[in-house]
Amino acid sequence: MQNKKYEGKEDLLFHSFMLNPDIKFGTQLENEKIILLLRAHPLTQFSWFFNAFFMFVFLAIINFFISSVITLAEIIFIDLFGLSLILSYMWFNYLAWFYTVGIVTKRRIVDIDHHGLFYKKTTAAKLNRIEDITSKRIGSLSSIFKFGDINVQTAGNELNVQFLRIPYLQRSVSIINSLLPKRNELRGFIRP
Amino acid sequence: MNLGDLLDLNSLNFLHTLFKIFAVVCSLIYFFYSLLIVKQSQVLNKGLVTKQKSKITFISLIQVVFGSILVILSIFFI
Repeated sequence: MQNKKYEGKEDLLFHSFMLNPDIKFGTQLENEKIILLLRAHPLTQFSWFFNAFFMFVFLAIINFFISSVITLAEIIFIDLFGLSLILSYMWFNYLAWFYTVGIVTKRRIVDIDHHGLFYKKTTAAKLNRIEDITSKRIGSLSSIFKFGDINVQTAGNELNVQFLRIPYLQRSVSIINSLLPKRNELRGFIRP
Repeated sequence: MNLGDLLDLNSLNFLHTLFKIFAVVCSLIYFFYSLLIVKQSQVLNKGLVTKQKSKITFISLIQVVFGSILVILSIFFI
C-alpha cells in the first residue's frame, strides 16, 4: 500500500527511490520491465554542497584583498571564473550522482556506477543467480535517515552487485526478495 | 604601451599582461571543458534515458555560454 506513494511518480531531479519508473537504460533487454530505480540518498551528497559553499565564501573573501591590486575588469573576470568553476564542480558531482543508479528489473539487477563522469562500470546479475542479499547501516545518520548499503551476492564467479547509501533500505530489500524465484521451487527443480 | 613597458618587472603593466595571458588560457580551458561536459552528458543520457534529459542538456549548455563569456571577457575587456 505504502509503495503506491512512489509509484508512477515523475522522475524529478532529486528522486532516489522510484517504483515502476518511466525510464530506459542502455543495456535494457526487450520487454524487460523496470521495477525499481535507486540512487544514493541525497543527504549523502552533502559533502560537495558543503565544499561548494566554502568555495563561495572563499571567493567572496578574496574580493576584499585583491580589489586594491587589480582593475575592475580583472575582478569581474576572477569572480565570473570562480563562480563558473564552483558551479561546474557542483554540476559534475550532481551528474555523477544522478547517473549512478541501481536498477531492479523483473529479470535482473543492474548496478551502474560512475566515478567522476569519465569512468563507468556496469554490473548485472540475473535474479535466478542471486544467492544472498545483505543490507547494512553504518553510522547514526544512516539510522536517522534510513539509508544504507545492499550487497547482492551471486553464484559462481559473477561479480557481486552493490547499491550504496540507498534510501528505504528494508523496503528495497523486500522488493528484491519478492522478485527472486522461490527457493523451494528452485530446490525442487535441482533435486527432484 | 611598448614591449619595454610590458617586460619591465617593476611596472604594473607586466602584471596585467601576465594576468591577461593567464585569463585567456584559463577561460579557453574552461570553454573546452564545458564542451566536454555537454558531450559527456549526451553520452550519459543515452545510457540512462529519463524525462530529465532535456533539462540536463540545457544546464550543461549553460556552462558553454559561461565559458564563451569568459573567453570574450578575457580577450577583449582585460
